[in-house]
Amino acid sequence: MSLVAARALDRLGYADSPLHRRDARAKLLVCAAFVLGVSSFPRYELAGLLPFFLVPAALAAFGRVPLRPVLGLVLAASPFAILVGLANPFLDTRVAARVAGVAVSGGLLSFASILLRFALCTSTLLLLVATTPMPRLAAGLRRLGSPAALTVQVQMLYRYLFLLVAEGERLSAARLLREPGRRLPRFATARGMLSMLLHRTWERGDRVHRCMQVRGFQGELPTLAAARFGTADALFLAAGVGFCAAARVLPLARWAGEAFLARGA
Amino acid sequence: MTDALSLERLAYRYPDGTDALREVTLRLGEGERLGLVGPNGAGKTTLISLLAGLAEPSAGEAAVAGLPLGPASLPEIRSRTGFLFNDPDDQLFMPTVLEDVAFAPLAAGAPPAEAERRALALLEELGIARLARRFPGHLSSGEKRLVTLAGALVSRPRLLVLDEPTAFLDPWARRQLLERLARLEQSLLVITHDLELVVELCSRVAVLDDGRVVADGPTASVLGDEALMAAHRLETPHILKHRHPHGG
Repeated sequence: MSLVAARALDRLGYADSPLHRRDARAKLLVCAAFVLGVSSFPRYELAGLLPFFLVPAALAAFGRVPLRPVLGLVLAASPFAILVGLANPFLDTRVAARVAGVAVSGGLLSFASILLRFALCTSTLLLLVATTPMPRLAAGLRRLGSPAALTVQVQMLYRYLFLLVAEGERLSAARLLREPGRRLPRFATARGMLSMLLHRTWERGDRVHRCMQVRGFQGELPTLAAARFGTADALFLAAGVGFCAAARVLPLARWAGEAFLARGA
Repeated sequence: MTDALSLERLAYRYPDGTDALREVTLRLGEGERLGLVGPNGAGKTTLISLLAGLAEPSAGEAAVAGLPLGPASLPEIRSRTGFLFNDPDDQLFMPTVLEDVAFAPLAAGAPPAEAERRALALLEELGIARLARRFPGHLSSGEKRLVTLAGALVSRPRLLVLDEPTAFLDPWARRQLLERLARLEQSLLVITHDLELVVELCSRVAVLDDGRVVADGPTASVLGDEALMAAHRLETPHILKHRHPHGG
């Protein structure tokens, strides 16, 4: 499921929307401000993180990105976040807050905070990929001063992942045809398939690299996208960074709650 | 006039001592189309690797348009030679057709606008301009093959080396490709098992077997020699077997 979702997101990167048309640098900087804002809160913070959900929501809306593949990938990656914070409720048992009279430990709060931050950052970065093709992202990183070796490595790794998926699908189809009754392979078969998968992707990667060399590849993947940073890009950047700064500094969640309560009264 | 391709006693030995090519001597004139055929394991793929500079010959010399093949001349050789490899999926690595075709001029330092103009003009010329914004992975085999051809032609090479250009193609796509190849002015080295293609496209053919050139001559007489064909695990193409005596 997650591999299918990853491929779907990659293809969405070549669609067209107001967000797709923004310069990759603007999007990268907004994402950096977002990650910085989210990760700079104290470890027990929950309410302050909530306004940040407006960012992925806005990106999905303006980028016309369906949420299903994004949520699928967030869920697929969630065990890592759970693993990181799982011990917190057991290690930090002091009462840090009371919700409706119920004592909540600091460990539980920090665990919830980790999960929120993970969901926010992962979904936003996935939306960045879903609205910007990888070569444009790499070109944007280069123009922001990232070393060429790093951006080429990122692109190669990204490309290799898809080769891995394609070869894995072929192997899996070949096994299913010869073992139609079994949904999962036997251990010995799986072991053989895994070694075959690595061997085949290695060879395929090598062939792709040779083709690139023959066509003049010299360590950089140039892109046709012109380095145009227009007014719309500047406005997007200002709005994105401005919102992240405001959400970090101002108690937006409390204000929203008070406004809601006042309206109700 | 210098030959588009000249191979002089070219040899290649694998690290395990197996001889893949033994003293291969071949010449391809400017604008000439040469078919190179042979059974599996004859050394055809090794020859492509040598020409592309992906392996170094053990002995002998090769020159493209008069430029001797060597590490120093490799960038120039690669800009003078277009390669079409067996599997188009290996060759298409950029996110859109347009960017893939524009890759070589961009990598050579052409400004993006110029690279885009050249790529678009070529896609137009090959009748596939409608594919420009498409993701290469979503194309049909025939479309992929035409896009790789555009990617090879965009550098305006003097020589095109085609490795099994009709592999994976249905008859209609094969015909489309053949018609486009027939219109090209470049010298063509067509390495293939598709002997009918050689008959239709190439005026001359060389037979490679066990790393040696065992025959070199006009297509009809070489491929029409049934004894020669059988001796090298090849078959005379039907198109030659059934040619009508009065030229039909």
